[in-house]
Amino acid sequence: MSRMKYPPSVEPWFVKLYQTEHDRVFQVTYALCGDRPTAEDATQEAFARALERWDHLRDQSWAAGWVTSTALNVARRMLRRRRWLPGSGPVDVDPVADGALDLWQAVRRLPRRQQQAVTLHYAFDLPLAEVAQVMSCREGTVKAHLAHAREALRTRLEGAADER
Amino acid sequence: MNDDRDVGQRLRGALERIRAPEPQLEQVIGRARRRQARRLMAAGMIAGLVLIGLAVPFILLGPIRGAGPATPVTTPPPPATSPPSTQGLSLPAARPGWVWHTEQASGVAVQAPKSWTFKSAAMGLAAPRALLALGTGPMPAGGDCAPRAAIRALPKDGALLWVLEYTGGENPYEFPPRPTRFDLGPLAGPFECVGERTHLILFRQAGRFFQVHVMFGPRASASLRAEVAAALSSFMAEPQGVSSAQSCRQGLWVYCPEAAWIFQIIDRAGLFQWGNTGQALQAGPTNGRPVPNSNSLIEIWATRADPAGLQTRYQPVTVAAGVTVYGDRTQLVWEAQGFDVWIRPAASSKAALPSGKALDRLVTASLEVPFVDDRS
Repeated sequence: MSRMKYPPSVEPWFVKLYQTEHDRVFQVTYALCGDRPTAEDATQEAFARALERWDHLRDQSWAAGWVTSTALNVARRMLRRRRWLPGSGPVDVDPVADGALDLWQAVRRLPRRQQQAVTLHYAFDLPLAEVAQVMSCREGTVKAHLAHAREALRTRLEGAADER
Repeated sequence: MNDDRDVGQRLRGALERIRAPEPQLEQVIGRARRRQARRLMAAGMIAGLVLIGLAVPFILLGPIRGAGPATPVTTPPPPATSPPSTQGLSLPAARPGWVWHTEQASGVAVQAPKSWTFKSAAMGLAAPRALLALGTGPMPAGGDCAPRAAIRALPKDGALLWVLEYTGGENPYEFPPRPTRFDLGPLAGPFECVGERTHLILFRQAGRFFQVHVMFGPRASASLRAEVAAALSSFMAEPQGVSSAQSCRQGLWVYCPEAAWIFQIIDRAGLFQWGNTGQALQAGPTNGRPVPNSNSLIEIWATRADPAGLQTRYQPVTVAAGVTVYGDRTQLVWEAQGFDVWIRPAASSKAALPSGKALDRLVTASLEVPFVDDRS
């Protein structure tokens, strides 16, 4: 690896974050945006931004949550931009056909803040206080988002089961 | 699906089935470098444009200046007692024995006795943003989401306060308009970050949203508590973005002082604020659960009191906390502090209109929580 321009103390911290969290960040981004190349690109971009913000994120237990939120925002922006390119039709979002991902498809349809709360709390196991930090809101608000999300997920999955 | 653990397991289980690409750390580092280079280049271009912008008028005005008599330019040194100046803040003279502390990067300033310790950006907290800490004792660095080292070093007769700023994603009504003088209020918490109970003060000022934690040592005097309240009352902030008053005038009710007042009434009445409809807040009792059942939600809002009086349009229904409550089968309304306060069951809920002690608590709270208007 070539010498990094960033303070040396960042390196071990960042490498560890990248190695331990890369797969999960990608998986969540892909599950929610549904487009593999976009998810790969957004994951890389989010980690690059994390490296720039090393002074805020170093050794924070919620750093992975921050990277994921960033990756999702980047992915959404990329998909939106591709939709608006002249001559390009709607983005071909992979139908995540595997039944095991039904739940994530339902998560995709939740409002953005609820998606974020569900992702951070359930996929990354972050406690409510840390989810609140990443989302810049209070714990009570996170609880409300999660409760709304669970209710919506239950309704949607029950509706889908009835249709079958 | 309501089981937290079940949802988590199912979501994580589904993710395990997605194959992730090989990690490419080199590419990430390269990308970060390119971003940095782009930013530097952009900063250089902006600096160049600013320089050109400054130089052009000088070049054009040079001949004109040269034609007149030479005028000596003297810049008097600032008097020793003059307050420090921040870019957009005009600070009044400090109280005798006090000094202004400014946090230039975030555009805030606070006054405190000279002997106190001031520290800007007291911890590495990104969101909410840590702005400053003030204390009577030493202020060692350390702590991520709270100044833990300074808390540990808090003298038994000392005080410590720190200010955070929320920079997005909040419900504006959770931050009441800033009062002229702060009341520290009761101890709250313990908060997860702090691990102890603190006085928690939320307020909005200059279009910004602040949170203050205040802690005292067990032997702190009443005069020290008054000094802390006075220091906090001196807090000034540069305006940023659109003010709550402007947003309110544009029709965004959640930014109006009425919404902030209703939020505090809900809190004082022991209800949980669930969300808002844009024109009303939704709230309900938690009955020991983390959040209320959506079937038990009511909507609550306030309008300027009808000058003709409520009795001209509604029948009296009951008296709560000494106040006549009017209404019909769908809603209740009473007058408090020049406002009509309305409640009705939320559209999606099967809640009955509050009565008895629940209604008493709401009416009492509407009389006790002062309405602060920040529209002017």
